Amino acid sequence: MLSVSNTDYFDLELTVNGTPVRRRIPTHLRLLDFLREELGLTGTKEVCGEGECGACTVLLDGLTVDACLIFAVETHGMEITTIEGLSRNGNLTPLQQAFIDHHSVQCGFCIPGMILSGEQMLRDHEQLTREEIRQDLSGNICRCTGYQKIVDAIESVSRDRR
Amino acid sequence: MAEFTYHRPARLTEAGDLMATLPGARLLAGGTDLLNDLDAGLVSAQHVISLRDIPELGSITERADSIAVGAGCTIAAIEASPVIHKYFPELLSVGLVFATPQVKHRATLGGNICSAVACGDFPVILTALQAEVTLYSAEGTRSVPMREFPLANRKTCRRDSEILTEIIIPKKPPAALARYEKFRRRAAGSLAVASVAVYLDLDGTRCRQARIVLGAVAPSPVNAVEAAALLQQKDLTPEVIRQAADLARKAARPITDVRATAEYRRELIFVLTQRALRAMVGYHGEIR
Repeated sequence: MLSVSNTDYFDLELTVNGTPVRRRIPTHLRLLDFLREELGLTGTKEVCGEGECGACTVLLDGLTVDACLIFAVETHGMEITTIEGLSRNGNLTPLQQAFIDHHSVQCGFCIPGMILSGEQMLRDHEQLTREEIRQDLSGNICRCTGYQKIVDAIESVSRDRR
Repeated sequence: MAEFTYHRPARLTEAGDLMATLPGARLLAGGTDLLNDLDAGLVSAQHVISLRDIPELGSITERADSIAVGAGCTIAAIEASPVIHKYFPELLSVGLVFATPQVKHRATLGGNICSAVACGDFPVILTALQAEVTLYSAEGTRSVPMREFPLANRKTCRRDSEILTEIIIPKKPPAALARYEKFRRRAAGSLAVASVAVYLDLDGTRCRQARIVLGAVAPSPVNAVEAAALLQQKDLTPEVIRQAADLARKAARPITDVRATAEYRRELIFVLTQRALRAMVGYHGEIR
């Protein structure tokens, strides 16, 4: 048997934003609460809490997931990237800068999830059409912007690197 | 959500032993249903058995007459599989309308089948493709046809001690094809109001064999046997298609709920059945 917890805790080891992390956590703790409450990474937001809106999107071994629908214990040994893990030494990624340049942000609550979905699609596809961007953003809901400027920002990064 | 004891076996046999000794333990695959169900109080769990580390649940393999999909394969992994692209492109179109990218990175095929919610997508197309599921327990292994697996909404014939390990999909004859039509209230991350899966083995526009399966219009997928029988050995003209769609509508047993009325769902079955069949034989005229 690889792994079994006591009823109330589990010794979790994983990598968050490039840093190894070790914490004793309750078994039923969601990844979202682990990131926000245990690690103080509050860039990952909670809105619906049931996997509809994508505000809690993080990258788990490089794939976008809803952190509200994963038990933290399930991420043992895995690698997580949150919005806090994208910039290096204060330098924003091209996509983060594009969101500023295109005024893609209004209230901002959905934006961390939007950017992580955008980062994954830019990594997975050499070039992106607006239709593909919309398809791949279908798990992230924004109630302010109408999406146009968010799509503009992702499209511009895809275009600029041609 | 309450605390539970967390088990993460590395072998199927270990998982089977745990299931035998811990009645009522919950299996955890992608978790996209289980976390919501626990949160809503629909289910409870003192023991959770994670299937994450069991390697045989995650493979897609080609056999002589079939494709075996590990129950732990995520929908995203199925969409990325060259074997699925080659043999079952219709499953890719189901993936497109299934859920958001985030959910598809976690949700598994086995989970979608075992959750057995009335509006689920994959059980409908897999019934039309005559898939079988393999159930493993400490006592042994058994196969169940997909059409017999769901018993009611959120209820299947899987015993408490059993683990769904693989889905076997028989390869289609060369001229056969399948199609899934799903009606949803919006184009992203939305559950089926009604859906139809059609399997056809064709000789030109003449039908050798047909199966029509309806989703979200009964507690579990409905095999519209009479509708399919009407197509057999016939030339699939718009009128024949219309007659079959009418029989499909009569086979539906929908309820009225938050997503639609029963009457609307029956009409949807009439339209979606025609839409699927017409697209499969290449008619593009208006459906009346």
